Amino acid sequence: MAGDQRQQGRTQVGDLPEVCLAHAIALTSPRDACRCAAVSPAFRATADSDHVWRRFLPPGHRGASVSVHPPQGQQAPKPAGSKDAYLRLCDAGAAVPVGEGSGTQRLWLDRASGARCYMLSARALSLPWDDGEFSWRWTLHPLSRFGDVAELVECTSLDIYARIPAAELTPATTYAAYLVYGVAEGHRGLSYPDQETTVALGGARVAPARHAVCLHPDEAEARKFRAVSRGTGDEEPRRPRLREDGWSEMEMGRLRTPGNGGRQAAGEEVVVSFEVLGWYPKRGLILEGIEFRPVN
Amino acid sequence: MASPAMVTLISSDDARFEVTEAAATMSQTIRHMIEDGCTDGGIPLPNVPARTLAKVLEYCNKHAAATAAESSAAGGAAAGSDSGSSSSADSAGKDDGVDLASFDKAFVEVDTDTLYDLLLAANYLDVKTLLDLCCQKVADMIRGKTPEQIRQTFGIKNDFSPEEEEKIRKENQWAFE
Repeated sequence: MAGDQRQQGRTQVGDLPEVCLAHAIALTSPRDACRCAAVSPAFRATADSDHVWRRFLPPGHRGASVSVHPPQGQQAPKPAGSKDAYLRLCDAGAAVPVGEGSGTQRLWLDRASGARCYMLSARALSLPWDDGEFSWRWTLHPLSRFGDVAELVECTSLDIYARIPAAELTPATTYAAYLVYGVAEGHRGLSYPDQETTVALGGARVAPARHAVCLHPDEAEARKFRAVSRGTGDEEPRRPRLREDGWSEMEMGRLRTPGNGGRQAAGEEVVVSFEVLGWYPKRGLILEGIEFRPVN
Repeated sequence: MASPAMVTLISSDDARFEVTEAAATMSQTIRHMIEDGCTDGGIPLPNVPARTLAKVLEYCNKHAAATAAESSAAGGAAAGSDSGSSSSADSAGKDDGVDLASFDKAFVEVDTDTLYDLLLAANYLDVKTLLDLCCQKVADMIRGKTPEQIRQTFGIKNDFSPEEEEKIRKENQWAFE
């Protein structure tokens, strides 16, 4: 065995103070920490420790596992482990409401990297109300994790915006934004060809890249639009993906958040948009919200 | 300017090192000993062998010199009266930032035994930036590896039974996908 051939007195990883190894593991990632737990019993004790996992919790959640001083003579209750607290925060289905505005925004963590993920509900988005009360209706939806969703009743010009402070996202991470939606019975115009999305960090210093998308690809309906489409270039429109939770999602674009060093990021916002350029009547889009997740 | 204050450090194997107080006091442990007046005849460091102490002091000398250059640049710019040396110190300070980063990177390009010794010494001497640097190096060596690769990298014996290891993998299934 390699271990037996080791000279006596040589320093080995097992000789390191636990706090040093814990500090090192906390600088890796949640996935790496879990792999460390399978290396050896000594590694496991450190890799599963609160010292490591507290570092992976978002700042507002680090106090969660600290127990209060018990009355004298009583045993302190065993604090819930930080690793358990972390894993609970990774459940997107049970994502915790954050921010102001009574639960229009939810937070959870990407399990492998610990990066913060957000879903902004339809209530948190900027929707076109050109046609007044006939534009949208707010309704309950069995698949929704919010109080209500926005269903498009009728509109001609459709442009949807969302913004989130860049500081809410995890630094130095590549994110994608997704429009999360469904399509109602009797929908119309959602395969219209000229649909675009943008994702931009900060003000409009640089025109953001535009992506051609199609929320509801439908050859038969699209054929009707050939004559009126002005076309968005050679780019094949992006198609939706069906999610496990039953909603569809459309990737709107990607961005890289600034590193921790960049102080100029203070107050900067991420702005995302979805727009249909033509004036063809549209109806039946059901908006759950817009989601921000890291790209692995 | 008077010559800088010097202190003598004594390694566990009785080697003596003369260093500036500025470099030595990057170690909080040594700083406290100096503050307590325990410097007569040299400061004994019974936990640090000469080989490791030499390496730690190489780090401290480099960083203490960079800090001194930076503060004299800042002081010179503020007071505008310092003699000669501050004229080009501003650009020198910026170069030092790049220089220090590459010094740090090269400094921890060592075998694992040396890295462990540096970690132990940085922890005992309480040199926070060096401890952070070494821990970051260990983190970089762990990142993206399988448990078996981590064992090979650090020469760790697997003393889990196959059943135990299987159980842990199951509990953390998502991390192995």
